[in-house]
Amino acid sequence: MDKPEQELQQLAERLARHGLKLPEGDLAGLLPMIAELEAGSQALRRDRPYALEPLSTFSLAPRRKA
Amino acid sequence: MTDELCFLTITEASQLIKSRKLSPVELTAAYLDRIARLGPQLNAYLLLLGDEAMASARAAEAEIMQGHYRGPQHGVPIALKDIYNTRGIRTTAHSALLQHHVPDEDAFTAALLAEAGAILLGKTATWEFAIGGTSFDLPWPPARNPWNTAHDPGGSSSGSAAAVAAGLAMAAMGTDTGGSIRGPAALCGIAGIKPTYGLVSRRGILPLSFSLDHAGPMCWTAEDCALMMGVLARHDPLDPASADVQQPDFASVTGSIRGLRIGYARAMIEEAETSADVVAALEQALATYRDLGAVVSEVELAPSLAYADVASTISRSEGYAIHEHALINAPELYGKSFRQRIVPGAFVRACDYVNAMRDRTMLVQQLAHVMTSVDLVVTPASVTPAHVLGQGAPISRTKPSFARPFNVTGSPALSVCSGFNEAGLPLSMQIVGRPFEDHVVLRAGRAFEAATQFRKQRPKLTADVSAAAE
Repeated sequence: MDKPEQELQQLAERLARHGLKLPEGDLAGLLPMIAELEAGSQALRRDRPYALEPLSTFSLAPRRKA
Repeated sequence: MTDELCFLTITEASQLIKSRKLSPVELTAAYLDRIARLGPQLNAYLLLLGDEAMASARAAEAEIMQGHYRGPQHGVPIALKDIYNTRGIRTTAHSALLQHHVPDEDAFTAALLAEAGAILLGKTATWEFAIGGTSFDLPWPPARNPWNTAHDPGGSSSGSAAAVAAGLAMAAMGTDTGGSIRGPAALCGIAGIKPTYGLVSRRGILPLSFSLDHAGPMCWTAEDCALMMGVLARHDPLDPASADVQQPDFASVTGSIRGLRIGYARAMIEEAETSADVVAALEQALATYRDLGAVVSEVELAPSLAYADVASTISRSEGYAIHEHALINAPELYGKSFRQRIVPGAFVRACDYVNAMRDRTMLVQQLAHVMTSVDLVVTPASVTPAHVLGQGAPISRTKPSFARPFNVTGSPALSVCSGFNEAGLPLSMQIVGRPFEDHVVLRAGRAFEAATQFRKQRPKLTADVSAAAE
């Protein structure tokens, strides 16, 4: 099995672990899309101030008129 | 004459309707006639509601004749992107998955527009679930750009932009998660505003990314967008993101911009390798603003990639969470492009999502700091004019976007037409403001449109004899 085929098979297995079985024609195009997104997510892996809360912090406080 | 009616703005038509010089029935019939003649060139509509529209127009006419004029939307023909739920009316998201989906409730905004007396002409084409890109493997073809039907109208609110530009709707609703109002507005030469996050309810609109989704109007002019926002900006206790704030002063958009401080994001524009015609039009627009009494200076924003990484990590995670069940059970009911854009979200770690939300906090604070020294920031709305249909560069982390940063920050951002290139395709400018200062953004857009001639030019569709004669 050559490298591209191996990569596609690995991707199919990776998708299967998430319960996904996509049409075979999808896989080649999906590889660079996943690589792109993972590059972006990896760029987020760095140290931050402990107190920096995410924008989506849960709140039950009643909203007030500005 | 009937085609001339379809080129009225809401500002103009509402005055005529209010004074009973123009009947909503006549106006709606003119639109339906134009759509029947020219619509097939553009594929802007997925569903036309001719009979329903005429019935609504007759009801509006009767009300107005009895002295019950509701306001500027009364009797005005509009369209909704086909991800806005409409009670008893098919809502498909341009997807085979929802091909037969008939909601039992209107989107909050659709109901507001109906209460204001707007006439719903139909549901417009979109990228599949507002992300799939220009696709040819869906139950309906993609919309086309009315300035050149071989070109792409942009997306995802493709049909809404094409319809407004071509005079097939006086206004249309779009949604914007990463530029989906401003991009197509830019490529189709119309005005489109992504309001401040929380100012317009998303309830009843099929979601793509809960924390990045915005709903907003697309019109021929910024002033028309302000009229639409006067109806749409309402607190909705059932949309968790809806802000309970005083409505911005949309009536002030016709005011002067003298003394307004405008920041020019030069570094971001150069970093994006923006096309020369877009840059030239923007520099001309800045000269116009100086002539109008605004004070222009340069500002520096965070690098595009910082916004891109936050936006893509959040949007793909939230989008995949929404669609995972159907992707596992019926992937074939989605188009290939949709699957390839959403499925990568399966592989984002929870930790990365949380850190994207933490960086988002920093980016919001950083822009707020920049906007202590200026009232507005301007950039192009699109890096290039419209490309040939189906030949756009694929979405990528490094593909520049002037729109995406302001979904991350939730800022109000308006696209207006800033001119035309040698091929006759529209160029664009984006105007960004502080949260809940949507009226300031619209005032700057309106002032630019009033000071320039670009609103006098409409697409010349091949079979459109009246427009070609302009």
